[in-house]
This record gives sequence, structure tokens and C-alpha cells, in this order.
Amino acid sequence: MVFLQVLINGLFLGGVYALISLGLTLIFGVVRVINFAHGEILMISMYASFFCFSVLGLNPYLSLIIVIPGMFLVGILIDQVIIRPIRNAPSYMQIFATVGLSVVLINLALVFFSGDYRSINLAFAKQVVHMGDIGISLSRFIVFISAIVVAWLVWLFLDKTDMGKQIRAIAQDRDAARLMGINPNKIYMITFGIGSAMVGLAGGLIMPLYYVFPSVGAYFVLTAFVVVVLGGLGNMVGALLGGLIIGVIDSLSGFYLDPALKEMVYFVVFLGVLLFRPSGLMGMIGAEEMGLK
Amino acid sequence: MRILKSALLMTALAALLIAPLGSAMAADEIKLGTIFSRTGPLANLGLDSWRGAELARIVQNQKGGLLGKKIVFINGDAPNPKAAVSETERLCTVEKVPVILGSFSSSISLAASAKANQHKVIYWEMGAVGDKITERGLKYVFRTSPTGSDLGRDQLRFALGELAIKIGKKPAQMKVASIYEDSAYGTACAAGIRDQAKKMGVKLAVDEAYNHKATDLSSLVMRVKAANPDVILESSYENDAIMFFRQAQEAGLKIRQYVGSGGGMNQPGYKKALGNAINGYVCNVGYPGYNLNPAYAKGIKELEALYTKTFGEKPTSVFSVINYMGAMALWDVINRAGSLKPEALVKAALATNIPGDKTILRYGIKFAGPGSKNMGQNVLASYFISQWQGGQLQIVSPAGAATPGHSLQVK
Amino acid sequence: MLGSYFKNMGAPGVYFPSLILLAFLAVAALVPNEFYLNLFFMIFMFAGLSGAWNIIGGYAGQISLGHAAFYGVGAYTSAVLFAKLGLPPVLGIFASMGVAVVLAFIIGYPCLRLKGPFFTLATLAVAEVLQLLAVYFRGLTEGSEGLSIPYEPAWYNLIFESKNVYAVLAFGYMLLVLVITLVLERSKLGYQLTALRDEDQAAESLGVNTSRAKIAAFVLSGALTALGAVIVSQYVLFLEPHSDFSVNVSVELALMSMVGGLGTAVGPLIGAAILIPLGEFLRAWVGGGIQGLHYVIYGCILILVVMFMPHGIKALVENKYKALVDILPRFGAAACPQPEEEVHLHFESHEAVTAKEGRPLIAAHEVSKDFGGLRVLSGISFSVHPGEILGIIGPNGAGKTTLFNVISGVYRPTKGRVEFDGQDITGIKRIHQVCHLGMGRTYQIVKPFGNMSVLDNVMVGAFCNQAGSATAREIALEVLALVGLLDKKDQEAKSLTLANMKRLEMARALATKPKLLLLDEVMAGLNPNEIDEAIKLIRDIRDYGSTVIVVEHVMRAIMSLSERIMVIAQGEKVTEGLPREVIADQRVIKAYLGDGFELA
Repeated sequence: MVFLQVLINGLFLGGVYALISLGLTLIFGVVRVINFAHGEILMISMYASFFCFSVLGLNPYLSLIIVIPGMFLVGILIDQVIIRPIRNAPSYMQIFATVGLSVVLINLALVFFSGDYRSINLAFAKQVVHMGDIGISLSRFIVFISAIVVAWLVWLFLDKTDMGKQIRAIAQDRDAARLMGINPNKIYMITFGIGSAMVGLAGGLIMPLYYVFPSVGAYFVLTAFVVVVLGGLGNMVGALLGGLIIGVIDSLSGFYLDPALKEMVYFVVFLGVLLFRPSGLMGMIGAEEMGLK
Repeated sequence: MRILKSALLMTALAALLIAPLGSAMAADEIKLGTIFSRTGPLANLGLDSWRGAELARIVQNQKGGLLGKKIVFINGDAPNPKAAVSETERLCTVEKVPVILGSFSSSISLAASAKANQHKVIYWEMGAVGDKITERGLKYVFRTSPTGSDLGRDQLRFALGELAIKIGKKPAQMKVASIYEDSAYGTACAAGIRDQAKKMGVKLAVDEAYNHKATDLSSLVMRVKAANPDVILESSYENDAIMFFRQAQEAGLKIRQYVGSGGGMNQPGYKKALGNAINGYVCNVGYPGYNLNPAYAKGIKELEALYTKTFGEKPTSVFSVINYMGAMALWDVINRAGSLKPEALVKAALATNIPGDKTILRYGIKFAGPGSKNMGQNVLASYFISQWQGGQLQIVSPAGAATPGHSLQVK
Repeated sequence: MLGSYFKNMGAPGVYFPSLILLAFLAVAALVPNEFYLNLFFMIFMFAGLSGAWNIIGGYAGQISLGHAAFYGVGAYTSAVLFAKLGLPPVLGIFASMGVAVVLAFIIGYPCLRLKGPFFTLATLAVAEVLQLLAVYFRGLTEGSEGLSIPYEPAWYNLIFESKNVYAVLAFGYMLLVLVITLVLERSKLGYQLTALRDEDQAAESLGVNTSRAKIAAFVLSGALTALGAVIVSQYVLFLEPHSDFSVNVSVELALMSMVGGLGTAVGPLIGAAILIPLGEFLRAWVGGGIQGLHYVIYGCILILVVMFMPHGIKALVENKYKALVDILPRFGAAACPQPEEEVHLHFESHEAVTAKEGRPLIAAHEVSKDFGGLRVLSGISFSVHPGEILGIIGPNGAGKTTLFNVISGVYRPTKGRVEFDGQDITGIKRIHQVCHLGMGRTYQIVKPFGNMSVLDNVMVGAFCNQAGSATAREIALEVLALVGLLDKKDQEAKSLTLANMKRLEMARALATKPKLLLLDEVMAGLNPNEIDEAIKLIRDIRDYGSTVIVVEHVMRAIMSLSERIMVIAQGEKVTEGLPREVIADQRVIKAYLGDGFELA
């Protein structure tokens, strides 16, 4: 019974990780820029959700109507202002530019919102459904289901729609895609926007579970990269599976091994993946470009 | 673009030249340095601690300042120990301050106080709990506030004492779990708990650390639940305290009482996030704040009013009070020393003997002398126990300090 | 190198920077103001630490964001040995460096195989793991409460009462790293690193063992970082995992090199000299006021530097600096004008060697290559004798480049064997081994080391069989004279015309003194004059001592060059023989023009 509860906790935690990572895998997998400010996109989403609640009185599930499109625009803005000039630059430039962006965003939040921890106290979200000995938190369950639904919807989008196919084409072979008449800049911009909107969804959904403060992104971003690499860049199903796996590892090692070491366990897993199967569980489109095949 | 590049270069050159100039001291001013972490993850508590010192400065200046001069603060920001060392260097060698007040964060304090001591500048610690701060035999380092291990010892003493009585169990029957975040603060408290447990001959049912940056504590909750404790002794910052409580609720972990050690569990943010669930359920060992009975803590209401007037908002945490008290003690030392020379200050500090009923927090100030293991530590510093009741932190122990009508409750 | 330093003392390019360095040393030793001394200590130490990072990050092009691992490990090893066992840090330094070296091997072997951002992420993960371990094993490291180093001034403890001594020590560290970097730049390893940073596979074809080079750089970088960490720890006297293993340390080190000039010896110094005072200044000026504002400014400056000054500040001021150096007076030996270097061509001239009997130099037996379900090569057998020029022709997509790739070790054949100079090289694991055995090649799409000069490009090839820079240089100059690029020797490779880039490809491969040279469509894109020159050059190359296999589409060239021609179509060998026989062969014509073609 205890094992089952630990497992379920792990799956639900995995849902959180997966939801946060879906946007990153799309962006990293298509635009191929390592964005160290990804955690701050999450932070902005969470603040947006918080302020919709505290100023407008909107329930975080409702305020998604505002937050998701808002973050889409934020993503486009970041892409065009910071990312676009360095898209073809050597990776060290991308790393430093996005690190700089991360520092600016964290401290702007500190300047404007102060370092206080803000959270949303939702009675609804705290409800726990009991099935025998097992307790299932409603808000976590919503996150878990959303992760699956979003992954599926985005996969449909990528697979069936025209725009989705264009995005996949660019990811597989940028030059060939251009020869087919696809405008890379437009695609990258839209991908960044969609990816950020997905992070916006994640931010809004996890606000009832967590709290926001300027550095909150840093707590999640490394885990997000682990999930993304584990699942395979650009792969929705991979990010979902990767997130669930990491969540379960987190929960199991925290319970059976030692709570102080659980982060270490999944970093070790991360290193293992990088060394033995860098294209991830589900493989990665355009892996040759990255020198991974 | 050229202009941009030149501008960058000019800025850099300017930095080299302008920085050491420092600020000139007017003849009728006393410059004192402060080091707090005003940026970084603990920024809000670092800032609030500084505010306590700032209030003391304002109050003293209203009384005419020190040695006939107005007090001016030169403020240093130290988000990490290396920055603390640099800032201390600047304060000591450029600004040439005789005293530095600080710091809330133990790691900042450890690094900065060592440097200040080298420069024979007094380091006046008013809130950081790391035991080692006053265990290094540094002549110029003093701390007015209690230590981390004392926090832990008091947590366990309270749990097996008054709390056990209220619950109705004998100490030997109590199952106690200790969980703590893994940075300097939590580790010190947990060490105190362990130390006290050994002294009292009891065994802890759980003794677990966790990474304070963790995004999930459900596995820790499960481990604690498996041990089925009566009481959880917790040393957490605000975010992890909130997370643990919530995840414990979700997992259906039921205990008689949480006993925190200050840190995050006495913050308004903690209350706002968790709501009524904490009432009668969470105690805190720590230094109290504006919730002290005004009859017991003279001047606390006036101080709160001053805070609100000066900073434009109600106090955000309890830390300003203890820093205020520590700074007021410093003014007393400086007045008695009659000068800002290091040896005079040390001598005056060692002679300090302020009785408990003269301080706002009702414990006295007397520093351990040379030769003792914790030289420079205020040996009269002690803690209070408060409990969240009706959305407020009410003192429940010692009894004399409690607001009438508020006594310890258990679930 | 020290000898040449003193010999050239009179040149302003040597004495001017030396004077600047001496000035810094003087400041460190003499200035009493403790604020400045603290600042200089930090600048020198970070210049050195960043310089250490630069060896793997800048020169080898592997961006590590986990150098905090080396920093923390170095700092803690020495500090723990000192605080707990009383071992003086002056000895503890060696323990720290030793541990860092071991760590570099352990991380390096697996991680350096990863490309770009994946390597970066791996290093980040390693540093995080070590940080967590440092917190966990608090019995050893005092965990989060931090390790205080006792203040016991003594030279063997590297703890001093006087800040001047610290500053001088820091200067010494910076100088050490600077000198090591300068020596590295001029050494075989340095050339190899710069080459593999630009073009990994081309470097391998020139005999560079890229993984060994990268690991060497990584180990050197780690050891120097650990050394610096010990010195800083004995100054700050306090260690804690959350700052000493922090990602911020890693980022700062990388940043300073980037801002100053990645992959240059003086870049880290410039970067440190700018960023450290900037940080201090911002914090002092702005930090006491609004929380976080100084970091916002710092972050903005960072972004601007990255976007507008990608080659760092060094590139910005380089021209002005050179102009300044040029107008300074020259002294002593340097005052006399240098004579032009003479290049002596040593090569034996053979008679045109016709196909010899006896053991072939290279032989392929029934070689097939599949890519997934696609069979690209099918049962190809051929051999080439020493001194021959073999031409390979065939329609596009026939598999000619794939054949080259198989015999030069880039691909492993699915079936069949390749023998070279009596050795079976079929399963050869690493491309560079092929070069050492005596095979060189060019690439159809040229891969020059763009950021290196023409001479340096060729020197990389020369290093295949040499260890010393002087001899490598001689060989390189000879080869350049042979191919006709001597007058462009100092030009940046990426600024050459296509024809010259192709010559450079050949020159590079030649410098490895190959027994067999594979030329892949070197005539493509050349005009008729250039083609004639290339034909003559290839004949000279054979006379110089190499056997040549040429893949070409340009009929004129292949007809006049080849002694024999082999025709490949759709992965199979169609025929082989004398040039005039081959082109008259019906099968060959059909292969090019299709089955429906009938010769009238």
C-alpha cells in the first residue's frame, strides 16, 4: 500500500515535470537553442497567474484564458529580441546570452515584486480524494491529466496540421525545409511562442500547488532539461514519459533511499542517458545534426 | 554601436577609479557598516533584518545619536560568502567603519566576520544562528541573538516538556520526528536536537535532511508517516515549510503538533498560504515579533508603528525586532566605550550586563568572555515558544510573556 | 621558448606587454591600500581561473559550465586535509590537483564525446551532483554549515598577514596560467585543439587524436582550476558547498573568457579586469539601494556584450594595440630588419613510376556498404601500387565518396576487407590512426580550419608525424611552396578563394607525408587555368613521393592524370583499365548516359 502511494505520488510529480518540460522540448528540439532562461518563462507565467488571482480575483484555472495567450506573446518577444540575433551563433554565445537574460528577468522580478513568496490558497485545490488507503490530491491529478492531454494535443498538432508539419520539417533539416519554401524565422518564432504558451499553461496549473518567487525557475529548469534529454528532444511523448519516469525516480529514491539524495539520483540518470543514449528514449528528430548518431 | 562599445569600456574604467573613493565622512556623523543579503533567495528576510537595525538607528538619532554625532549606515549587499568578503573589505578599508552590523544568513556571517576580525573591526551579529559564528575564538565578533543548536535543544525540550504534558503522554512515550533543510540553518538546529536527545536519553523516530531547493517532498512525508510520530520538529524555510505541510495534509499525515524553529514557519506568507489549518497545530521556537504582549515587551507597539511609518507597510516578518534589539545593545556599548576604538569597544562589550527587563525581547545581554568556548556569544539569549492561533502568532511560553487568554493548544 | 623570449626583448611586441605585467606586479607588491589589494587579488585569481577554463572552453571549444566541480574539489581537498589532518596547504595543493586530474579523466572520457550543448549540460549535472555530495557528507566537509579554515599565517599555510603577499601570489598564479597558455598555443597540442574546434573530422583525417587532445586539455584545465581554488580558499578562509560548487562560479569563469576574448591567451585577463571591478562597482553603487537592481544592470551588460562583441573585447582593441606597438621603438637585435625566411624544398624527384609488380599499397576486397536498407557499395575490389595515379570516375550517386570514406576509416564496410600497406584496416576504430599509417585525404566539401592562418592549417597536418613546432613549421612551409600558397601563408583560411582552399586541403594532407593521398573532386568549381595548375600539382605530388587516387568528374583532368581508371556506377565496379580503353567501353557510356543510348 505504501509503495502504491509512493508510486502514485511519483506519477503525479512526474506530471508536473512533464507539463513544464513539454514546452522546453518543443523549443529546444526545433529551435535548437539552449535557453537558460526557460525557468524564468515559468516564473513569469506563475506571477501572471498569481496577479490575475490577487488583482482580478480570477481562479488560476480560469485565468489560463489570459495567461496562455499572454505567454505566447512573451515567447515571441523573447525570440525576436534575444534569440533571433543569435540563432546561428556558436553555442557559447547562446548560452551566455540566455544566462544574461535569466539574470535580468530574475532580478527584475525582485525589483518589482520583491522576494516574498506568493501563493494562491484555493480550497478546491486542496481537496483530497481517498480510495481506500490511497490519497489523491485533486490539484495534482488535474496537472497529471493535463500533461497527458497537452502532450497528445500538441502531438496531434505536429502530426496533422500544416503548421505542425512545417515545424517538424525545420527540426529535421533546416536547409531542406527552406528549399521547400518554409520560412525558418516564422517557424522558429511561432514555435517559441507555442512552447512558451505551454509553459504558461504549466505555470497556471501548478500555482495552486506551489508558490512563486523570483528564483523559482531555477528550481525547475535543470530538472526540465533532464526530462527533455531523457525523452528525446522535440518529442512530446518522450517528454511525457521522461517526466513521469523522473517523477517516479524522485519519489522512490526519496522514500527508499534518502530524501537528501534524491536529486542526485536523477542527475546520475541524466548523465547515464547522455552517455549511453543521448538521443533519448524516443529518439530525436534531426539527431545527426547534433552529432548524436 | 561604436558608442555602445566605448560606453562599456568607459563604465569599466570608471568603476576602477570611482569605487574606492568611498563617501567622505562629515564631522558630525558616525559611519557604521551593515552586511545583509539583500539579493538572492533569502532577500526578503535579509532585508527585513536590516530594517530592524535601521529602526534602531532612527530611534537613536532621535535621541541625539551616539557620542554626540548622528549615525549613518553604509550598506553592503552580500548574496554569497565571496561577495560578503569583498563588501567587508570595502567597509573596513575604504569606508573605514569601526563596527559592522549583520547578517541574518549564517554563511554570510561566518565569512564576513572572519574578515572583519582580521581588520580589527567589530562584527555585531544580531540574527544569524550558525553556532560556529561565536565558536572560533574571534575577539571582535559578538552575537546578541541565540544560536542554532539552542533552537534545536529548545525544540526538543519543549516537545518533551510542556507539549508532552498537554498531549498527556510521558516523555518516554513520545515519538518525535526531526526534519530539516540541509543548509546551515537547518543543519545547526538538527544538531542541537540530536545533542539534546542524547542528553535526555531519548531516540528520535525520524532524523532526516532534505534539499531546501527540492520541488517535491512527498517521499519525505511518506517516510515520516511510516514512523507514526506524535510531534514533528521542523527546521525549514518558508517555501519548503509550506510544501511539506501541504503534502502532509494530502497524504493524510496526522500528528499532534508541529514545532518549528523560526525560519519560515513564523512568516505571514506561511500563514497566508496555509490558512486556518495551522491554528493550534503549529508552534514555533524562536524569537517572537510584534505579537508579544505589550505589557511584557515594552515598546513593541511603538516599534511596530515606527516600522509602518518608515517603510510604508506592516512588518513582513519577525526578524526586525531581534535586529532592533541587537542594534540598541550596540548603542549602549558604544556609549559606554566613549570612543570608536576597537579595544575600547571590545572592553565595553565584555562589560555589558543588560538585565532582561530592560530589553524589548525580555532576555538579557551578557557576552561570554575570553577563554570560553563561545566567546562573544550572548549567554542570556533565549527563545520563546509561540503558536499560531486565530491567524496570529501568540506567545505560549514562557507563561509570563503570553498574551492573556492564549495558552498552548494541541490537536 | 624562454630563450626566444629574451632574445626578442627588444621588440615592442615583447617588451610592451612585459612592462604592463611588471606594472601590475609592482602594484601588487607595493600598494598599501587594502581595498585595491583585495580587488587586484580577485582580478588576478579570476584571470588565472578563467584562463584555466579557457584551455578547454576557448581553445578546445568545449563549453563547460561545471568547472565549479574542479573548483570545489580543489578547495575542499586542501582545506579538509589542512583543517582535519593539519597538512600544510602548500602540500595540499598537490593533493587538490591530483584529485582534479582524476576527476577530469573520469568525467572527460565519457562526456567529451558529447557535442555542444549536451556536453555543457553534462558538466552542469556533474557539478550539481558533487554539490549535493558535499552537503551530504558533512562528517567530512562540514556540509552546509561551512568549513572555516583556521587563520594561522605561515608561508606553508599560504595564509599571510600582509595583503601584498596575497596579491603577489595571485599575480604569480595568473602569470603561470598565462605562460602555460602561451606555450600551449605554440605547441602541437595547441594546434590540434584549435583545429578540432573548427573541424573535428578534418582534424582526425590529419592524424589528430581528437579525444586524447580534448582530454589532455580538460585535465590541464581542471588541475589549474583546482590550484587556483586552493589559493582563493586560503584567502577567504571559508568554504561552503552552495557557493563553492555553485553554477555561478562556473558561469563567471566562462563569462570572463568570453567577454575578454575566447580562445586567446590574454582574453581571460581582459575579461577579469573588466567584470570584477564592474561587479564591485555596481554592488557598491547600486546594491545598497533597490534590491536586485545592480544585477539587472549586470545582466543587461552581459547580453549586450554577447550580442555585439562576440569575439570579446580583445578583438575590439586589437587593431589599436597593434598600431601602438608598431610605432614604439625597437631595440637591440630586434632593431635589425629580419631577412625573409628561405624555404628549401627537399623532395626527391622520381621518374614517373609506372605500376609496379609486387605488393599493392592499398587493396579493397569485395567491399560492400549498406546504410540501413540501402546498399551503396556492392562487392568492390581494386588495388593500387606504389607510385600509381588511379582515377575513379562514375555518375553522381555512384558511391565514390562513400568508397573513399570506407577506405579511409570513416565508415566500416558492411562486408569485405581493406588492406593498406600490408595491414588490415577494415575495422579501424579511429580515423586518425589511418593518417598515422600513411593515408591522407581531402574532402569534397572543403573543411579548412577557418579561423587559423594558412600556415597554421598546414602545420596541423605536419604535426601528424612531428612533435616539435619548429620542424612542423619547416615542413609546412615546404609544402606551401609546393602548392603555390607560400605568399598567402599568414592569411586567414576562411578568406581564401575556393581554388586556394582546395589547394590548402591538398597541402594539409600532404604535410602528413602520406604514402597514399585520396583526392575527392578537387577540380570541382575551378576554371580551366586553375584546372591545369591542379593537374601539374597532382603530378608533382606523386613525384614528391605519394601514391594518388583521384575521384573526378572533369574528364580532361582525369584522362591526362591517371595511369589507370576505375569506373563505378550504382555502387558496383563497372570496369577498370587504361584511360583510352575505359572511355570507349560501352558499359561505361551506358552508365553515364543511360541504357537507351546507342553509339552511332
